[in-house]
Amino acid sequence: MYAYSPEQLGRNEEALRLYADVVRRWPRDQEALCFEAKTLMALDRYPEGIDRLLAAAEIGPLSFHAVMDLGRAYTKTKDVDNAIDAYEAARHLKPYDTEPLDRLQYLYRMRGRHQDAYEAVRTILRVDPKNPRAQRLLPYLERNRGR
Amino acid sequence: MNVTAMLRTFMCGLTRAVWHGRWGWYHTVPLVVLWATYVLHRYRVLGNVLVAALPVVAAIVMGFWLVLVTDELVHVVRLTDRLARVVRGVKRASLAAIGAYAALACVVWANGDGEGPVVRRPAHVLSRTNARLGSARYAWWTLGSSERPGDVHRVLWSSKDDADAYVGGDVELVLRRGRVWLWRVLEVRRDHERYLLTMLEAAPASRTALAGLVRLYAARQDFDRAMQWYTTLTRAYPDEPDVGYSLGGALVESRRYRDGVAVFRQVLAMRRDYESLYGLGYALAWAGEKREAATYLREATTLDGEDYRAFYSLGYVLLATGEYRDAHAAWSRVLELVPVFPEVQQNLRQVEKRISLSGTR
Repeated sequence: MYAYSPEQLGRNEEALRLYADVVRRWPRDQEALCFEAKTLMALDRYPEGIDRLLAAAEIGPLSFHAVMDLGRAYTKTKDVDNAIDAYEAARHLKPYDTEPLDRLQYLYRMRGRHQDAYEAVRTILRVDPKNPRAQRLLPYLERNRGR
Repeated sequence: MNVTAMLRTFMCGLTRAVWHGRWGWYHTVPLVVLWATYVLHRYRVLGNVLVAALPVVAAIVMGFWLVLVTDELVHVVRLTDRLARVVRGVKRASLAAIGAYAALACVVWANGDGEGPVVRRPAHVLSRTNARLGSARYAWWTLGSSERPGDVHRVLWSSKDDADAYVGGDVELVLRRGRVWLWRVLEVRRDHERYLLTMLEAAPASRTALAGLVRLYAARQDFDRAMQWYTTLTRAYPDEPDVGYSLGGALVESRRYRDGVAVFRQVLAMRRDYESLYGLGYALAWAGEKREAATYLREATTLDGEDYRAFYSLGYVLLATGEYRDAHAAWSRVLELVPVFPEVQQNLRQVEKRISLSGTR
């Protein structure tokens, strides 16, 4: 896929034209849809990125990176509930990765789900005991959880 | 009926049950092998034993039915005693090998449940081998350790592994120590640092590589290098607020407040939105600049009145500057947005007391 090179060089407009062409030729190519979505998001066109990722999800299960992109896009569009669903799916794919857990704790806090945020932070510290953000958040969440 | 007769009847029934149940056994064994193979792939461990065991078991399982049919024939066709003994010996050896395989799978399964810290080890890919033994197909990586030259590990390939890992390339082994002290391999992923540095060699102005290096070193808390690459990035691309935002956040989380403030100021010059204002206000508050922090946090609340974070931090900043009524208003808004928030509820009670004590402030 030739569009990958301009995308990696940050030439997103050019990459997007090429990805759009690939998707037009092969509309059922999941990888091309995910790349197009990523490029759209790099251009701050999040709703379109979500559309592409949802179209890709209809073709087959999304990869970890694609699910994370979906979560990020939902977060940017302030659709917290769908963002939580996306990051929980990412967490299911890679339970040992702290990134979805970190995003989840933030979204749980936005929803006032302090107990869930606390559990997420505890899991982060099990995986990465020196994680500074988790260390910092733990006392705060302990004050607010389960009441 | 006396006890001896009862016992004899029972033993006779048991022998018959075992004899007639052997067909169940014959079907159970391949299922055990399937389960064990799934477990060994799912909870793969670092080491060579497994890769060596798999072809042996695959060959045995493929020949297993042939052994069983021959064993059945021993009962109906007259064979020499010696041949019958050999057939039974082969059958028992097959069952023993499969039993050992299942036991190994049980150990790996128990090991895989561990939830200890995750560690990363650099390695390079020496080869990827695809094995095909009839219906059994699998692949494994041969990896050379970057930390201890000469150490070679074999790891079963998994669909979870990074598709960008290639022979001759550098990878990172994501490992976790299991319950029985074996290293479970969670993932083989591309060594992102080396990948980005190689990209920079090919394209020195690559925005993706520069931004990636800033993020990578910030995540590793190697802030000196992160700041160095951030300076290079902003020199080449003055409009790159997202990278600065994540770097600023990481600096504040690591209690490097002054550096965080400096980065957030740059970000704010690029993009004046809620996140940048909140980030700068939060960093300033921790750096002790409460009054300036209040200015930025107030502005953030005007841009997004539905996000509780700026109101929450503003409450603390205003409390510190003695503006109790405004602090009360900020935290009341937090409670409107997040109704269950014990800390804020308690803060509100305290600030109400202070308001009543200090009179009109």
